[in-house]
Amino acid sequence: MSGESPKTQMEIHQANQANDDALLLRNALERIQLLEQQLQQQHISEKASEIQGVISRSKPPPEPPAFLVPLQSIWKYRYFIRNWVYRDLLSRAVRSQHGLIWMILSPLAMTAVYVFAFSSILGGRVVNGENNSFVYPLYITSGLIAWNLFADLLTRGMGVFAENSTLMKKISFPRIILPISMSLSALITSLVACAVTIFLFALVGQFPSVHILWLPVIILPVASLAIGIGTILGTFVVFFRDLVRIVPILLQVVFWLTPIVYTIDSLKSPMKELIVYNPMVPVIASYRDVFVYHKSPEFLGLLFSLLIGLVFQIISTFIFFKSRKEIVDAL
Amino acid sequence: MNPVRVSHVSKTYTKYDTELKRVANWFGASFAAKQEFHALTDISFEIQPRQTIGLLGRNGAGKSTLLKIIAGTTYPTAGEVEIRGTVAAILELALGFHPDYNGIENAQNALSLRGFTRREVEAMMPYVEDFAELGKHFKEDLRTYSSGMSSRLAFAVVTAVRPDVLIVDEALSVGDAYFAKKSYARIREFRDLGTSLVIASHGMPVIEELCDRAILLDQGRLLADGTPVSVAKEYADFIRIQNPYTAL
Repeated sequence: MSGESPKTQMEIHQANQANDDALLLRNALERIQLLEQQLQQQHISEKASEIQGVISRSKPPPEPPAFLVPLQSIWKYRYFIRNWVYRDLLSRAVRSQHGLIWMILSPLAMTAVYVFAFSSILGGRVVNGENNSFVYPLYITSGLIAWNLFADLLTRGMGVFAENSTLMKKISFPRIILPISMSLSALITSLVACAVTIFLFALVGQFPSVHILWLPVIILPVASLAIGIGTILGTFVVFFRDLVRIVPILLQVVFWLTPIVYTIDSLKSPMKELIVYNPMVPVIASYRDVFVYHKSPEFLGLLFSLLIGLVFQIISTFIFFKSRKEIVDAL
Repeated sequence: MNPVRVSHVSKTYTKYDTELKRVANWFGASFAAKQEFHALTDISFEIQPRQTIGLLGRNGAGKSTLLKIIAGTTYPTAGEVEIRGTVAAILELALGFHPDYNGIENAQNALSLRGFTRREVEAMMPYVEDFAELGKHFKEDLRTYSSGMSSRLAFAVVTAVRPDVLIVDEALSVGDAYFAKKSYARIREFRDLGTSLVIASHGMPVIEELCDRAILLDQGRLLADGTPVSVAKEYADFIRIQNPYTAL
């Protein structure tokens, strides 16, 4: 015989084997289905409550109107958010031995440095028409609170996905709860700073008036600006690691382009007109209005900041949805 | 009404010569990738309730990618995966535990990330503590844990509640024989109550002992789908063809 016949025999043998296997499989499946039906009757009530509809893995998680997703997630994952915020605040407070003291001392020290630099070295004519010697420190402190909130939200937003990569790789959950937890923690930190500032202001006889109650309205535009920019950066950082180095430098530039330690009046001509387009300017001014000047903020300026903030929010949401299929693979 | 339906799933990892192109593509540009790696190509199968499926295949065959897609931590490039009910997964021996948190905190964290409320998590903690058998280490930081200890904790956390679909990626290959036996018992218990199971393993005995169905993957393609015995044989043949030395 030629060399072909053993081959054919083997093929026949294989075909038989495959047939047998298929038969076995079919039998097994039938048995399973029978068992399944029996068991289904037992478990039907138990199952019914568990089935929460179909989860699709190809078009990622739930798809109610997009703006409702965060609210839904916040509620469902409230225990995670609560724990996260609690541990984050705790780790900030006890990071060093006397963490709480440093949380108060380091901004005070920064204020002292700016006061010294501007009033002693640069001649001090920073705030016009005020005789109170406390005004300049107060002026700087209130501006710094606003800036710290902005910088804190932004830098932490930038790290929110990169730093939690292990969680995102191992457990499936709506990613949006990470920036939400992070922002909550930063906002609480800032409110603590506000409380401490109010206390310190009271010590020098500058207890803020009732206008301090506008604070939530002022925080809204800073938060939307910083969270928006922060989450955009948070996504980009995963793909461009160098941003971690670049952003702090840019932040320094923006700090000096914002009238925090100086006044708009002290600026020269082109800058003076251009600076009003900086969305942080109305925010800083409003912090001062309520902390130092005891008056209500200028709402038109805040509205401008809020609108810019919303633009960033929209961009960040767009990028968030566009990137979410690829971001885990890049972590 | 099967708990898991995988239809025509493909996963392609792309590499661009600059990440700017990737970002530009989100905004509607259509730059071509410099390099594409097809981790999975056109995979389709369904998992029935109470079925235990073993994924076989060499390193890099696509087992983990497939499990990640079913677990929902990554998304397919094409195709669809539909899940009915709840899913729990241990991927790559871990649950994203934080080294600075202790066992309790990590367990709380992982459970709350599955969307359980405080009351639910607190009700599960005694089981987790009991099953993981960490003793006093349960209150110590994860950094002090051995790999066996953290995988015990991970397994306890994942099996604290019975999911409709349980995904286990190599997790049972660590830990001692005693814990492995305990884990198998827990898995069987879940299966008898209606959980479908997907396990990836290099270890043929695990698949043959535990599974009632096996799937063989190679280079992202589904090569065989059948009884564990028949697929295991195919796998053995397949390895022999690829590497004749093992046949000696």
